Amino acid sequence: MRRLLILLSVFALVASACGGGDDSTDTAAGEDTGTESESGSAPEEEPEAEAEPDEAEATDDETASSEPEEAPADDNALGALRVPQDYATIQEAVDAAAPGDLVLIDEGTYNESVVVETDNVVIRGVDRQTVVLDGMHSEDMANGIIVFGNGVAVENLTVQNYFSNGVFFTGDYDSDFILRGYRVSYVNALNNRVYGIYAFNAEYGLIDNTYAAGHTDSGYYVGQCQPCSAVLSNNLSEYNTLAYSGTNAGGELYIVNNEFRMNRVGVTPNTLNSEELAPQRSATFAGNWIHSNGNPETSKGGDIWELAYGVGMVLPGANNNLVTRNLIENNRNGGVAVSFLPDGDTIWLAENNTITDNVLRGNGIDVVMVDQGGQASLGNCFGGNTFDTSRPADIDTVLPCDGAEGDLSDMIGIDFFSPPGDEANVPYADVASPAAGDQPSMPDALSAPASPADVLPEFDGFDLDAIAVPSGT
Amino acid sequence: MRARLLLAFAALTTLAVSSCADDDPLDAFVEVEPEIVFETEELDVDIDALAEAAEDPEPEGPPPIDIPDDALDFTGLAQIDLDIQDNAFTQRVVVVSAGTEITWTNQGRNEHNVRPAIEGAFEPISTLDLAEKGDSASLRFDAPGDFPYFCSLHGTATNGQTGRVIVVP
Repeated sequence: MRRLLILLSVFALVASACGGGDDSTDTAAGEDTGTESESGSAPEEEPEAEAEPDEAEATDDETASSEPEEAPADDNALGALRVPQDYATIQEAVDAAAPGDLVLIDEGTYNESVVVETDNVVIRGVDRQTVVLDGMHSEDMANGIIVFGNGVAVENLTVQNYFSNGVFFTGDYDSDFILRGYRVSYVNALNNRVYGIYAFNAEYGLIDNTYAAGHTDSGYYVGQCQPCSAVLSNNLSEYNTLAYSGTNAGGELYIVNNEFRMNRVGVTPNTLNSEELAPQRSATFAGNWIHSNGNPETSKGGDIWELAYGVGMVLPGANNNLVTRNLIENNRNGGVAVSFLPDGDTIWLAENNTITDNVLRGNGIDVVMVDQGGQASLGNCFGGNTFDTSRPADIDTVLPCDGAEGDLSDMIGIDFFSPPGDEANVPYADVASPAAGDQPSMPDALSAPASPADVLPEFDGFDLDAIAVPSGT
Repeated sequence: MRARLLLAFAALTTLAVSSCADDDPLDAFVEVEPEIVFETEELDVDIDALAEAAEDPEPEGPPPIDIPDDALDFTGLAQIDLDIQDNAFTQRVVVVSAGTEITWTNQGRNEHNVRPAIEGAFEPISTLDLAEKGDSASLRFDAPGDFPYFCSLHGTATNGQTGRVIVVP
C-alpha cells in the first residue's frame, strides 16, 4: 500500500540520519578547523562576535593552525555556517546561506528577529533547551523567525517572548506567492504573544516533535491553505488560548498523534472572513489525546473563543473534516462539539463532518451537535464513538453516518458552554510552560546533515490505518 | 574634439575649393563653405559634453513614479478607506491626490500596523491603533511621492504584508 506520506519520509530520513551517526564533536580538533562551508558561503573574514553567545572565538585557518588549543571542538564536518563562531548573529548567517546550507547555532541567548528569504536553508540549534531566541516582548522583534523562502527547516531550539509569533512561515499574499515546503522539528515555542508555530498561505509542511505553550491565540496555527498538504504530528500544546487553530485550512491536512492539553480551548478547525479561502474544509484529526482543556491559568484570547471554553475539540463553521480515533477526555465543558460560527454579518455553518470511532469520557458533555438555526444535520454524522453523554442524546443513533437522522429537538445553542469570566486571564508573558524543560533535543544535532523541507511535491496522503486511539498515559 | 577642428577643416576646404575653382560640380560646395565657418565660430562648446547630455539628460525634479497596472485610482478624493485582512492590505497599491486622508481599518483577526518602508517617510500607525477587528487609524498625505509601507508583524519592507500609496499633485 502506497500511502506513505512523503513528509514523514523526510522525517524518517532525518531520524535515521540522526540515529546512526557518531558524535564527532571531540574527534577532529586541530585536524581541519577551516570555517568555509562546503557550499562556499562562509565569510572571507572573521566577523566580530557579539559578547552574549559563548565561545565566540576566532576560527579561521591561520588561528587554528597556530593555536590549536583554542580551536573549536569539532571540525565543522557538516560545513555549517556557525553562529557565533563564523557569524556573530543568526541573521548574518542566514543572509550568507545558500540553498541547502545548514546554519548551526551554538548555545546562548539571541535577541534577534530573523528573516529568511533564501530557499532550502536549515536553521538548527545545537541544543533545544540552551539555544534560545528571545524577543524580550519588544515590538521591534515581532517574530522569532519569519520565513519567506521555500523548503526552509527550523530545528532544535527555543523561540520565546516575541511580540507576535515564534516561528512563522508565510507566503506573500500580495504577490500570489504560496510558500511551498516547510518543517519545524524539536522546537519549543514559549510565550509568544500570538502564535507559537504559524504557517500561513503555505503548503507542504511538517511540524513534529515540538512544544508550544503560553500563547494568546494558538500554540499551532495553520491558516489559509487549500490544499495545505501538511502534517502536524507528535507535538504537545498546553497553556495556550487554543491548542491548535486552522482557519480556512484543509486539504491533505493531517493533525495526528498529538497531545493537546490544559489549554483554554483545545482543537478548532474554523472558518473566518478575515482570511481568504473560506470555508474551512477537509482536514483529518486522528490519534490525538485531547484532554483537560478549560484551563483558567491561560491568557484570554478573542471573545469568540470564550464560547468554546473548556471544549476539547470544536468545529465552528468547519466542513468535511474527519475526526477519528482520538481520545478526548476530562475537558471541562465538552469533548467534541460541531457548531456554526457567527462572523460579522456571516453565519458559517458546519457541514458534512464525520466524527467516528473516538473515545470520549469525563467531559462536561462528551459529544455535542449545536443547533444551527433549526437546520437539520447538514451532513454532520457520528458513529462508532465510545461516550457517556451527548446532546442530542444518543447522538450516534440520532445523527448516524449510515442512516436517517432522528429527533434533533434537544440540540443546544452555541452559548451553552459557560466561559470562566474575565478574572480568568493571565497575561501571556506570565503563563506557565510546565513541560518545556522535559522536551528532548533532536538526536545527533551535531552530526545530522542538513535536510531542507524541499522533497515534498509528491505528497499523496496519510496512512490512517496505522493510527490507533491513544492510551492516554 | 573641439569646434576649432572644424575651423581648420573649413580653412582646408577653402584652399581645396580655390584650387579647383573651375570644376562646376563643386560650385554648390563652395557656396556652403561660409555657412560652415560661420556656424563653427558661433559654437564654442564641448561637443563630447553635448553628446553625453543628449544621451543622459539631466533630470528635472523627482523621477517619474512607476504606477503599476493594478493600482487603484482614488485621485480627486479628500478621504478614502482601506481595509486590512489577515495578512494583507486589501487595496495594495492606491493612487491619491496630495492632501488625501487615508483611513485603514483592521478587518482581520490579527493585529496589524502600518510602517513606512523608507524610515521617516511618514508617521507610522502603531499596532495598538490596529489591534482588533474594526479598529481604524488615519494618515494624511500632503506631499506628492511614492510611499511603500508594510506591517512589521507579518512582513518586511520588501516581503509579506506590504502596500503602497502613490501621491500625485
